Amino acid sequence: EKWERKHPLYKKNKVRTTKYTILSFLPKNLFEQFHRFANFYFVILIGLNFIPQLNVFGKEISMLPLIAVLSMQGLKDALEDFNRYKNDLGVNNTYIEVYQSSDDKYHKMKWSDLQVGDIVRVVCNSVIPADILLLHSSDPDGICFIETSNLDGESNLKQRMVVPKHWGDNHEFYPKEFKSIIECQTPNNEIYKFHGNMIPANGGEKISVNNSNLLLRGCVIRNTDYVEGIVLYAGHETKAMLNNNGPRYKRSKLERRMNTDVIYCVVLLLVMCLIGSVGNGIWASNMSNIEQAELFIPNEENGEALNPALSGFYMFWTMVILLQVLIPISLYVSMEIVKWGQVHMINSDIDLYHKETDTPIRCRALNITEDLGQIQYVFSDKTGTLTENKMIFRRCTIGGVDYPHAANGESPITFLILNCEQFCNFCCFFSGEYSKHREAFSGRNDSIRRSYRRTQSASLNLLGYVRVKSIGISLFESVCETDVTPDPVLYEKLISTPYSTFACNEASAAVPSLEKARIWDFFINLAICNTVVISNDSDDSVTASTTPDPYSVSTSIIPSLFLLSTILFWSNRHILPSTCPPFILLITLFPFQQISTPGAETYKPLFPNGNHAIPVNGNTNNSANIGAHFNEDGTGLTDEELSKIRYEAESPDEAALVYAAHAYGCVLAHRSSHGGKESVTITLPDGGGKLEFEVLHKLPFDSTRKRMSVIVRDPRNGQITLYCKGADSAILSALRRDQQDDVQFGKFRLLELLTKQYLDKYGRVGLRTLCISKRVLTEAEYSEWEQLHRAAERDLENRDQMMINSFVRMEDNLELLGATGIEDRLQDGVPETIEALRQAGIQVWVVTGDKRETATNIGRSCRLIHQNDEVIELITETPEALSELLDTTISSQDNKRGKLPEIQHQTSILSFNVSFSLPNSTSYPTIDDKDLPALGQSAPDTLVKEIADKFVLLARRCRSVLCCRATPLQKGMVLKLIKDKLHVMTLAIGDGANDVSMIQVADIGVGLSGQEGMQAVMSSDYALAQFRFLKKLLLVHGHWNYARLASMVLYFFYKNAAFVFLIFWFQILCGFSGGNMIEQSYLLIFNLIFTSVPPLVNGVLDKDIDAATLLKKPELYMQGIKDELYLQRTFWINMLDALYQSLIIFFFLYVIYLDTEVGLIEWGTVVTTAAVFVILIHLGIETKTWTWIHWVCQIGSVLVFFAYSLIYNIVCATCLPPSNPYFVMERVIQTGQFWFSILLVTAVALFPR
Amino acid sequence: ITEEKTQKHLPDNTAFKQQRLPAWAPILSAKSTLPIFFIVSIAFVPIGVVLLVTSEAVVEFQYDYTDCIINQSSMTQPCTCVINITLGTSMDGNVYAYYGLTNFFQNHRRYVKSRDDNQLFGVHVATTSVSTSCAPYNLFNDNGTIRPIAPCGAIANSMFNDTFTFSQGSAQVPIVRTGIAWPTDYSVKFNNPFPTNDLDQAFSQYAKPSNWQKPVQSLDRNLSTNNGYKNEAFIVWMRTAAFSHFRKPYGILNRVAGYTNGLPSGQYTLLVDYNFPVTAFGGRKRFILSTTSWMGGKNSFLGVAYIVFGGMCFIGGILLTMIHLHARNTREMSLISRLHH
Repeated sequence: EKWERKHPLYKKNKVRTTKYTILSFLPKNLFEQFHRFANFYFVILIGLNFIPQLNVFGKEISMLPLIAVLSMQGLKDALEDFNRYKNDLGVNNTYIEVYQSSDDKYHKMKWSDLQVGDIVRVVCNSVIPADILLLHSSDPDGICFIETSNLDGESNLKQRMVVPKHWGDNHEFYPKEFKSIIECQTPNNEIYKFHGNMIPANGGEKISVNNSNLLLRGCVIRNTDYVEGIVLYAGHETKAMLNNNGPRYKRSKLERRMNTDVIYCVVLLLVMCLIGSVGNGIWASNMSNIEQAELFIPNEENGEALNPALSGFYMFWTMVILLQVLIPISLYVSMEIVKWGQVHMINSDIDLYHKETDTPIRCRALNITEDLGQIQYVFSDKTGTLTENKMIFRRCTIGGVDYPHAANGESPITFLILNCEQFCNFCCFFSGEYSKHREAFSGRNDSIRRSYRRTQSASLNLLGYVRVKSIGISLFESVCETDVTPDPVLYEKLISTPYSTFACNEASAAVPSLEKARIWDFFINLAICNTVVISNDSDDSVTASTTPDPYSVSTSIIPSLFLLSTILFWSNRHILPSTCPPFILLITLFPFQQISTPGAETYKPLFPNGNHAIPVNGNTNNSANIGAHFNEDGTGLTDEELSKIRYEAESPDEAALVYAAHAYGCVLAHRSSHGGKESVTITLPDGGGKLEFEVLHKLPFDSTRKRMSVIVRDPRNGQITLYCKGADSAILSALRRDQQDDVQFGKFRLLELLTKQYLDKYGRVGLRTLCISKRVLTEAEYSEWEQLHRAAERDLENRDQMMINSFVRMEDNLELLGATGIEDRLQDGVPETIEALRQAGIQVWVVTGDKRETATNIGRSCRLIHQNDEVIELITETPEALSELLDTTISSQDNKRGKLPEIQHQTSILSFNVSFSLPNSTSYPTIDDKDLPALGQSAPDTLVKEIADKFVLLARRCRSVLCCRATPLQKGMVLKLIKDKLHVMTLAIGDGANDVSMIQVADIGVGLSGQEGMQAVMSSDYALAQFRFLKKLLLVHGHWNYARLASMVLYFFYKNAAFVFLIFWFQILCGFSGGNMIEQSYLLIFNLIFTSVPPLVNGVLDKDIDAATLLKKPELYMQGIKDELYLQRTFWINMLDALYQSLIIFFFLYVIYLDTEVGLIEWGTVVTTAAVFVILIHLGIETKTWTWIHWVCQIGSVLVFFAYSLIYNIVCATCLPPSNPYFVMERVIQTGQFWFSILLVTAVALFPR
Repeated sequence: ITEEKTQKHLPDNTAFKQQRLPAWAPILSAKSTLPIFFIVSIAFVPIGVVLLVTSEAVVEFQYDYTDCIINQSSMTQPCTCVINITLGTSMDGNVYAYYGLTNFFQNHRRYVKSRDDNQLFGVHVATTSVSTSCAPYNLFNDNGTIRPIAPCGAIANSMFNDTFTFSQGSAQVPIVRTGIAWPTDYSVKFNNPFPTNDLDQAFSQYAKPSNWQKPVQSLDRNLSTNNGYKNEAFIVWMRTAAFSHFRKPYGILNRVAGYTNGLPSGQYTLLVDYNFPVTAFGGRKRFILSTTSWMGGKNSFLGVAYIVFGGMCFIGGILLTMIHLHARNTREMSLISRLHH
């Protein structure tokens, strides 16, 4: 009876993300490591060394570097793997309830023992262990909510449906009776796609199942007591695991440059080997004429003298082995270590930590740290990246009347700031102080400053900036997101006429009440025309776990005056002036502390006296406010519930609108679906009761229509009404034009014009606009449309197209109600960051899907567009026109350039701005296809190419570019275009799924962990919490890492070359025999031990310029852009330096020790010591800042060298033939000659530095 | 508690992690570099003078006797030549005798390799397993029986085997041939095989190197303990020289009656047993007498280099100072002139 519990085809649910097992570690790891070029190189060298004729080193010791590298790498891999193993263990040993047919009960079982075909029960708030087909839910409607944040980071709840019942409608789901065959796709990684069939065992119709029935592993059950389902995919076959990609590997620009230099090194090596080989041949042929040459050229084993040519050939390979260090293999390992260290440093930067969301920066890509210092173009998304993506309902216009909502969104503290000059001064003073640097506090003896200093604790002094700032944000978020303070005029109008009065016949309504009817329709539209999910606050776990509690910051530790004033400073930027007197300060302090205790219970009215003078208490919690209001009216039966309602929306705009309706008392209270019938319930203000709308159709949002609608049956009169809201262009183009009556028509025109005017106004102040409209349908109209729509739904071939056409047909003849203006507030520090980036020589592009007006406004407010910038707008309908426009613009630019003779760089001198609109991406599918692809795609059009070229030509002259109306794909294309055409380093920053293509194309992708989920973060190289962190990330960390790595790479080239040159010079003295005066173990571990640590420390810690200066002078970033620190020239200068130093060391010591009794190895030891000193002190000179770590490492390296050589030279009398350095070091350091030579050589060699 | 909970990802605010470690950042400016020039010159010139004086105090006598006999062709056929030497100045203190070779590449890679340290360490190496690094000087075919060579290898085979007899009038100057090797080499690295008290027996299994006149156990006829691998001249030879132009200690003046203060000036006779062939490969050989100082032998380069470098620093420093002052003056001048206008 048990269905195939042990089927071999199906994987168990046990997951193993580790790469190795204990047994397979050694072979597998070694195999992987030998795939690397570096290790392979080592192996070849070792192999060469085993050929007797070439034998340079002792056989064992030649393996030392390889073994060291392999074991270090292996250790790192093993540690990483062990961590994964521990994670796996935790996951596999989680328990889940699994149905067992033996006793017809659910039993606890480990995740790892779960099998495909098992029926499991998952309770609320627990994680789903495998991909499960939902068979039963505790919810009577058969739905369940899941949170997919583990999978895609989207924290809003998603609804899943139980597979339609097929085991009989009348009784509950019993696992025992479940006998069906399920057909489904083979495991794949498409999270949003799934389809299959369920075939009941007792025959009967196939039931198709799809994505909406599937619960994915890793998601969490919410708002549903328990669900039951059958495991379809387990373990590694789940969609979550199949989507689990490893970290990204990118090669940095510096590394690419470096590789060319490595090739130079190879060439150099070959040249040196060739010289050695030829020299050897000549020398040997000279010698072969001499009888007695075998005195010091031993013959071959057969007693014959070696043929000079053959000897030369051998010599070549001998030299390869001998001079192997010239190829800086150690550099690769060192770079990996250094980058790891740099990443660690970036990760632990407290300035990049966002306290409110508790997110530090996360570096996901480990090997492009230095690219951060070379960015030339930044491509930024707008919404959610520059702005907070926290929508606030700011104002609306209904029936041609503007309701400014003057008090809205501005909490009293922000009222304050503009009027209190003293406070302002203080704030500015404080912020200026911070930027000057904390230490500057002690600098001057200003009495005011001292008094402030007294009020601040030491830790505050360091942390104040970040901490206080984030308190400010959290405060506003909480206020703005949900709190809308009704406009008193509008509110008055709304409640003055109860809704029911319009019940009968709209047409008969008089003009003034037409306005009121519009107002009612407007709010009903806001309340029901959406897809938000309603959740109750009583379900603590949802909100507590998904949204960080904004109030959890304890404010008590911060002196309140200080706190407030800082908040004032940081929040005053985008607030309109107002005239509130300063004494409100005291009032506002009160709610602060009230709120600062966390937990849902504290959402209580802060003004319990029921102050219904609405605007004043704008900063209290909205729901509390509403609750209080209702209480006073005495109706409040559901007040508690209503006030606790929370909305989970797919887009923040939607939520903002629903909350706005909520504020006016039109509360979206309940959604239900029974037997295919959906209905929405709203409650009306002033105890107006409930209203249940039957939803006939939902016309969901899509990016071509840019609007959504619902068709409902009005409960008042049974009229079928379409409520539609959408982008202004989308609505205005579908308005009703067929007015029979001139007066009527005039009125509608007027309304349209007025609304348009307000829309423009809203756009100008940077609000996102949406038009609200409705359409009353006759039964006939509706049924006619419905038939066509059904047909469209059934169409299999191009269903999508048909559906859209059908929607478009319905959304016509709309009656305009009004429009809303939603503010998307700029994130903190965005203007400053953009300004700094531009000063740093980085071109900032904003690529957004928004319309031009909104984008330009945001552009202005974030200082992307300066006041005196010349703005070039490229907005045309057709590609041809665009091409022409580009031509004329470019030629006019050329004329201007002619007048300015000295223009080398197009970046800074020409300062204008392009607002580039990709032509007509708003087009409906019916419109000619030719208009769609503005940039590339697959269009064979040469015109497209031409446009792209011209656009790039123009764009590179602009300081910044604003691209509007860009689809996600176009975002990526714009970036790719610039990257390919200009060969520049690009960075893309974005927060949403629509930025993913851009982020992936860019050299560096930065994801903001913001409102729109984690897709951007998942595909990014760096994950930030806020846009402003980009400033420090690029200007400071980018610069540092670039400078550090550049100098480290150069140093490694220098170091290896210097050392190898020494050996090369020796060939001249030893008859090009491949002889070697340096003791072989020194030669091999010179890189590994004696000179390895200080450059690594420098690579992680050195600071050529301190952080404060870098932030203050963004121009310093140019060094990286122009690649000034790592030029081809600098490479050769370093090589020349190495040449000079090696010549000095070698020939000075040669002359000093010539014609003495000095032994080969003895002299070699002197040379090595001198080289160690010179090379380490060289680094010391390069080091810009010395911390104690530098000192320890530098001195430590010298000590290690001496300790090693002294110990090694004393312990072993016969090891490592032939050099056998027994007691050499001990003897050498006793001679004065040694010390004085070292001193002289070091001084002379380094003097040019 | 809430604060801690909400900030579990807060990075540590330590000086190290925030890259705020106190640091010393040397800035290269005229003020900081100019003194370095002068300090270097002030330090180096006196050192150079001291080194030069020390080097000049060393008395050294060299005589190139390569051409005293023509047609020397083999190491195994002894010839002698007599050379008259006049020491112009007396050599006070310890006097060392050296032989110097030129154009002899003791640093050739294959030459350097051609030895067996284990054999020299006193380990009996079985006939068949003499280190192959000695090849082709590892085995000797003695009428069909193959015997290992002791000591094996090219280095040993090419050992310098001229002998010097240095005499003043009829009296031989006492030059002892011990005390020239490194004490550690003598006591640790080089050991005779068992039985050490009967070297003839110990080396009975071995053949002598082909170029040698005498087997290894009878290298020094005068001093029985100075034989076998523990022969100091042999040990000295086995420490291969760094360059092709080198000298190696031959012996030390025994400061007994008549030579307590060193070697007085005057007429001496040098009798050379001429064995070692160098003319074939264009080499030269010398007989050298030298006193030493704490800095080793005579070498004026180090002292001169110190003085020259110190001097250059001084001159460079002065030049830079002048440039610096000039630049400042012109800057001031331009400033003043601007003020006046």
